[in-house]
Amino acid sequence: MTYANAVLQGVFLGGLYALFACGLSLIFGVMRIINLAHGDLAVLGAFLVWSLTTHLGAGPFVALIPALPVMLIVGYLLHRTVLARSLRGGPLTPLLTTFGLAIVVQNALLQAYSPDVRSLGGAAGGIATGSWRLTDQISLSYLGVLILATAVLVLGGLHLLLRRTAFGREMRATAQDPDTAALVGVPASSVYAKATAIAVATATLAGVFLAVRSTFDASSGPTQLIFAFEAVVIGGLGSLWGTLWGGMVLGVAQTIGATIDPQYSILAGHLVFLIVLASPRGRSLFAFRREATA
Amino acid sequence: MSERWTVIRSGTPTRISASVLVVVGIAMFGVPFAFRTDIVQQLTTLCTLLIMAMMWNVLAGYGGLVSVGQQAFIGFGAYATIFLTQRDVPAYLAIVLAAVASGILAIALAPLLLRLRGGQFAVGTWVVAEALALLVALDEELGGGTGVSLRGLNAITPDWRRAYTYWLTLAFTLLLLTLVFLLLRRRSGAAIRAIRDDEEAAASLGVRVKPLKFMLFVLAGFGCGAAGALTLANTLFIQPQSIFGVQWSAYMLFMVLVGGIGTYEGPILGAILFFLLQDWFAQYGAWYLIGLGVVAIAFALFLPRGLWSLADDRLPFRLLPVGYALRPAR
Amino acid sequence: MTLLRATDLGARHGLLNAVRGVSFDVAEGEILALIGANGAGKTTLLRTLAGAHPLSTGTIVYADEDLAGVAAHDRVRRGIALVPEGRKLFPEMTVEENLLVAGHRARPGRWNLDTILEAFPALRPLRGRLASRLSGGQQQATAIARALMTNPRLLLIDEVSLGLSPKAVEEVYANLAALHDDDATVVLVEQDLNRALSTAGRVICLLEGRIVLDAPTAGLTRDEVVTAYFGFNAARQP
Repeated sequence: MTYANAVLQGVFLGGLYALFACGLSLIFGVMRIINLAHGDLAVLGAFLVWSLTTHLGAGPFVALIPALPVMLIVGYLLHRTVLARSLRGGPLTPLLTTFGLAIVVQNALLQAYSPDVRSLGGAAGGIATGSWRLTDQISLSYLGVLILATAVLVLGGLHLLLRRTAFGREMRATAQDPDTAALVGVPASSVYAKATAIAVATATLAGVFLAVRSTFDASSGPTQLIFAFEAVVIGGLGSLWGTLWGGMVLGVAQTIGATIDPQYSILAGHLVFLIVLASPRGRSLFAFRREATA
Repeated sequence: MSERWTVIRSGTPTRISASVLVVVGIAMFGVPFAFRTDIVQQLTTLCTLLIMAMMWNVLAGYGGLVSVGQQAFIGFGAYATIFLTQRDVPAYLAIVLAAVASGILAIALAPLLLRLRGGQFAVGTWVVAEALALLVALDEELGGGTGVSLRGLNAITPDWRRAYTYWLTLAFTLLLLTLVFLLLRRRSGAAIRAIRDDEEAAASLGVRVKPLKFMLFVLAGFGCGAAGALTLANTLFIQPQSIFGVQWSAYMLFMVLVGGIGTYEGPILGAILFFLLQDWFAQYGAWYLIGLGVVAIAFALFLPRGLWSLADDRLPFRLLPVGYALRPAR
Repeated sequence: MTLLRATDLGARHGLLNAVRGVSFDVAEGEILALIGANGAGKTTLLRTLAGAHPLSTGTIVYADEDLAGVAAHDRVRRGIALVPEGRKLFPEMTVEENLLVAGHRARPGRWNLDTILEAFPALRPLRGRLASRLSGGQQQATAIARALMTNPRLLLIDEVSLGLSPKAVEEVYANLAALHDDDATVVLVEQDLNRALSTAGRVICLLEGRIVLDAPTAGLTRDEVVTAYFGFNAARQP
């Protein structure tokens, strides 16, 4: 029975990872780069919301209303200042600059907020602690349901944006062939900047949910980047809905690992990721992407 | 227009400068006889940094493989040394064996990781490092999460211990410098340059990209394992979180970017600079690391060939015969 | 009236000087054919006009504006559209999406999805098909239609008939003829000399990156064109 509960909790945890992963996946899909600062930007967003809740006394979800537009702008400016330039420098440069950026953001947060571990759980009130009891051993937390629902909404929204809107078509065209996109009038840099803005905003959402669900501190970013990356790879690179399944597989692996021994939790996630990488599917996955991008 | 040209590897100035560098390298073995032990220990640190920078450059600069997970090998080398000394292998022999074991780990991981490209490789190696750190933390014999000390060097007096550690570190540094030099001198050097400039084009010209990347990855695994084991011998105590920490990758990236990625001399310059910066500014904590990050970004964007390119473009000759030059034939 | 004036254009392609000291005018409403052997610099020249390839020397003045520093996507908004070599459709998008993405930021003009599908009736049943699943002729028609969606004043078409079946070539040229009723200005690259001479009002022949012939097609003998094309008179060689 505990395993059934572990699977259920893992599925809901997967919603959080999918939320972290979708921004990473979007940037990779459109620009073919992995933003190594993704996790730290999520934590930056969580700290912004934390500041808003402590100074304004608002709940974290209310504080998201001003925080999300701010982080959209942060993402937009991030592209205009650093990423746009690094994209012109060859395939390695975006990795080097986003890694540098991760170090800067992480240590700036450390300097500004001290290394203390915090949580937004208290500020969120009943939603962070309440749950439905299904049986004696299985219960569903309000927060878990809210996170998964948000993840599905965000992924569905992104899907509709990409498939149904003019901007979405421009993003896909740029992702498939930026040079030709320019020849039909699509300015790649503007598309990239908007995609980065969206990615940073979804990361903020994920960061805040992480902060409400458990704890966070200035150096939480890298771990979240790794989880997001694992979810993206397990789910299949470049597939938005895949990140949801990827996140769930990762979440279930971690909760089952934790059921055996709490120390095995994260390790189990890493092992599942490495197994997917080693599997024939992982091999074909990357072979396919290479053809698609060539 | 039918002038004839010959390809040369070095002129007289290059031969002189290379000889001077070799002599300096050998003379460095005399340091423990002439200087205080804290200087010997500092130089040991510098040499391990130099090994790391060189190995990261081998991957990123020559192979186009940006790794954020070389700490996997640094940590593995250190813990393999602990593992071996716990089984009564003499400590210095254990360090050498641990470096070899790290190379073997790289051979084992290569089929998995070299399949990944770009950012996927970067984060994939990082996951391996994290997984290893967690595995080590689970093992109580290796000290678990709280850390472990290197025993077996207690029998040696501290001064001699530092000197021995320094000599071994210097020997590894010179060995790896020589290996990388030979790599660039031999036919593989031209292939490496081709991959660095344009991997697709190199592959289409018949450069066998995969075996070369494999070789670079294994060499970097060996070197980083050695650096980790030597760091342990220098500090005598390690913890999984710090020896498997991603900060090593940050340091390596900084040294290589600032010194000059893809050059032979750049990482040496970068390691010396980083060593001095560490000495002067590390007390500023987070601000120091913010500064490192900003400088690394600035170099990546505005001076991607690093500081060495400034010197290299102005010097009338190369310090080391790792390139080719054209000269009119007589 | 001169729509575009190119002066002393030079462009590199790798280590090669693909275009060298090329100067010519394009008059509003004319159809100009660029001919020349493989590697003569035709594609590079078209791409420099569209802003897809950097110039090493020279200036392009279009509608009285110097295009130096104007990015490719901004040239599209000024009315220059290129149908690139190899068509370069967005493979994982449908025909309709390929058209719409070009129409999104289009200049005002007569072309929109409806008028395009009227002018290219063959595309109507293919609207929902992925571009990667089209035949060569369908791809070329879609590529030309996609360029038209931007309502260009100057349409540049690379390799109009390369790789197309004779029937597809007929269709594409029929579309071009319909287009010209609309007073559009067209610069096209064509390997088929007869096609080039019968469609265009003027022909420019490139040889090793330089212009060796620039003349109205009326009154031009095939012999003159062939001499320019090869750099010698092939017919008179033993």
